[in-house]
Amino acid sequence: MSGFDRFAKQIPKGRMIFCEYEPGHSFYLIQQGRVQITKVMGSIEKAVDILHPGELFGEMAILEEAPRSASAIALDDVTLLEFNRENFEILMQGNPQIAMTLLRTFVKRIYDQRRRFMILKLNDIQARVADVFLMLFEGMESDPEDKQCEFSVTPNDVAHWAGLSPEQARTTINQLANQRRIEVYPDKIVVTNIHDIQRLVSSRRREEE
Amino acid sequence: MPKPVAFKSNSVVYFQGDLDERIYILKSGRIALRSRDIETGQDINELIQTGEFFGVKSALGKYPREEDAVVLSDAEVLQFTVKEFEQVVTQNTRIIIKMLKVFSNQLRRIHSKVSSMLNQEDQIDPAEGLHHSAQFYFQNRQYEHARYIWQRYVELYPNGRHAAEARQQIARSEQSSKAQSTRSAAQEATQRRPGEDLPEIGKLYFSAETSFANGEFEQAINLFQQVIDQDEQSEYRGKAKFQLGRAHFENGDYPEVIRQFSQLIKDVPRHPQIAELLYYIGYSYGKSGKTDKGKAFLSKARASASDEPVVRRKVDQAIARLES
Repeated sequence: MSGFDRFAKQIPKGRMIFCEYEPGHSFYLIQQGRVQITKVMGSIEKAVDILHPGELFGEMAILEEAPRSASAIALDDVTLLEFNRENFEILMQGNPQIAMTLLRTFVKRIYDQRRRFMILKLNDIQARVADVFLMLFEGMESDPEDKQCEFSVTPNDVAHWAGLSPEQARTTINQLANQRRIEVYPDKIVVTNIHDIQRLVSSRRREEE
Repeated sequence: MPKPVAFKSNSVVYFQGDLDERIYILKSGRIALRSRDIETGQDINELIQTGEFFGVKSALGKYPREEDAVVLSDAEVLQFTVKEFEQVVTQNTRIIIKMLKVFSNQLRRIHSKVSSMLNQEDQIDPAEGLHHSAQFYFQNRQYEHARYIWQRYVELYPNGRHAAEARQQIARSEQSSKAQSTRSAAQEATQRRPGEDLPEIGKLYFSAETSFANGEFEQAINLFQQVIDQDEQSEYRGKAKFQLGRAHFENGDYPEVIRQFSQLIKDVPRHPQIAELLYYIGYSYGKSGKTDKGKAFLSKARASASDEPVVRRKVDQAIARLES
């Protein structure tokens, strides 16, 4: 890695690396020291995370052309490798493992976003909520023989994923519960038969196409 | 070793929905990827170039194939496992870079589609967000941060609503920062103690947070524990339990993290930070050499974090580390 020292950046302890809401044009790999990720929410500062050497941060802002979603502050004297459009290729050529990690990250994000898109595209609200359960189901490692599935989610979580208001989500969840397709508990939602949910979603999706 | 495989015309290399982790290179013949556009429903027919990889995304991401790979005329392919693929491309990073470019374009497109379908009302204007953050740090006497942010504000929005104020505040922050550095550290510590009107338990909690933020984890553990023990009813107790586990984590005491956070999930199954709790448990198992257990918890964390990009990124990185 020593040949890349010219892209290394020294940040003294306590210094801000970037701020939430700034546009991002580079991302970083920590070589030494720790980085604190924080967000200012109203009148408090929330410590979101502490990152260690070997970890990447700041990559989402350049990908999504969105402002930084949190601030990064050096918790120790920190050495960073700074990646940007100009040096990206040189750095990747010297760090195939980082390139590979990035490739895996991209692939997963593309899938997640596509899956989310499929949910949001459904006009039928009941199907949308049902599809959220399918998405969660797909993320679990489960026995394919098992029909009944437990999800530790709240109606508000479901609302967010389905792009619905909390009231809409709650009404729809109650409908599904009345149809005995799901059971709602304070700490979880149980799907009685996940295959039934699969059928519901795929038939609505066909109808809408 | 990558394996050469021959396919007859009109046969299929894989179907949409298949789950398998093979990656291919087309050596000769014609193969097309057939899918439907997720937005318009239109058929997409994409011819693979000779020498091009296909099946990469679903294999690396371990998700179902998103298209049919149909053989148009007798074809020869080289078939790789994910491991073999990695060996080849890490020897030749140009391939990865090319793929990263393609994938980042795809990601950008799909991300903007998703954003446009979601309600964007709760999004803060970045200029206002910057100004607010700077004010926050100024009020909390973190003048260097405030100066940095106002500086950025002026660079980004030289004619912005707060530009004049920002210019003044840069100078004030600089002065205050200098004055501050001449004061003794002890004075500073007492001045920065937040909220004099807080109840005792609140002060204790914030001094624990301060220790944590300064990297004094032993001290933070001690103080968070006091917050938990002193008052069973206090509003700080829940937060302290979470932070106590994180302090143990930063301190490298992984068995303690597993013990405390498992108990916390048992006690509060609907914990608002469930994804993070699962992440810390999974990471700690990984660190304790229990890779399978670690992966299981991380994949649970992943499912619970689908709406928390920061947590999600951590989880993905931790999974990638366990897999490599």
